[in-house]
Amino acid sequence: MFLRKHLLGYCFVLSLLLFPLESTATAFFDNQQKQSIGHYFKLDQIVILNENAASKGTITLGKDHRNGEQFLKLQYSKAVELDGKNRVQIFTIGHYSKHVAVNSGSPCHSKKQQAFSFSHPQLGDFQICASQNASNKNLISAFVRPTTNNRHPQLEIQYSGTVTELMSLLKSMQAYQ
Amino acid sequence: MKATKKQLLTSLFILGQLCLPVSAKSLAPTDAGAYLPFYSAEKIGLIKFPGYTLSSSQLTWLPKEKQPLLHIGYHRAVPFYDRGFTLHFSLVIRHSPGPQTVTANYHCQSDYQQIEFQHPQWGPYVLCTKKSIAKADPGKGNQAPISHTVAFVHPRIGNKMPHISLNLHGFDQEILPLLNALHSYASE
Repeated sequence: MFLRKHLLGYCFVLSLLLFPLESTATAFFDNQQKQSIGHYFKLDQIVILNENAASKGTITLGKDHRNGEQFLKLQYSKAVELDGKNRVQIFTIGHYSKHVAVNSGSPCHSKKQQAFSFSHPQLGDFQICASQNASNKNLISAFVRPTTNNRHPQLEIQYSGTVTELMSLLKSMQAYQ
Repeated sequence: MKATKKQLLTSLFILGQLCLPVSAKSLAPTDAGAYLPFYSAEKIGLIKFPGYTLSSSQLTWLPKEKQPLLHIGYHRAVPFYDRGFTLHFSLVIRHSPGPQTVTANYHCQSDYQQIEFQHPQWGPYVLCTKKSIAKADPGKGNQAPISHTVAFVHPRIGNKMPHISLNLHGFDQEILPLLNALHSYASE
């Protein structure tokens, strides 16, 4: 009996070694999604959030036929308590077929936005263009674009929420593959 | 006399728009390839109508839904040079994993006109339509009103493509011909 239990245990460990469970990152898309996305993007171009960082929301994959640009947008949400109310932070990682990288230190599109730099240990450098929400100064709207040395020059991140959460979500970005 | 001449020019322009060549631009094989795992070629609806060009297509996976929606969008710009403005019409074909059929007793909202329509291949639709008048800069040229219509189109029970609904926008007299020009990707 003892031997049988041990044998079962060894078999289980051996099966895990031979057939490892799909990692969190690769399980983000199902096979059909991967098949569709593969028509427009290489899977190693895709950036997602760490599994526990925020809730997975709407995913859109499409094309603007007027300029031929393809896109994949991954939307995430996270509720945090602010001023005694639950506020939903929205973080969207946009992937585009054209490069959208900006030069380091270049001005933001709008004069209302302030520019900051952010360095991700794996992905590279980004420029954050953020503006304060008129009705609540604890909230910001931000566009985050890679700078020219970034390994993912086709990303554009849009965000609305608190500054603290933006930094935490940016840090939790990871390459899909 | 001047106004009459401008009205004539506008009428000729509208007539010219109607004679526009039908755009051959459809879904490229790569685009179709991205959508076919979810909607077969027989299930994808497209429009071929003068002036309307394919502008966007996208799959949308809503949270917790395994099967995505598919939206196919068209655009048409109609410039009125003598009035200094351009009308922009958009048309969206919405595909969903489940049926979008409305019940037999469905009625449009009170401020919409209800029209029943029979598509030659696909079957019955109900249209909820509303007319609008295009506004021009009062200081510019011809002020004859330009009427255009938006229509929300739902499949009725018995429709062979119950997973498709449409939002149409165009000149009043073109709404039904637009719907008539609806066909499947497989039939192209």
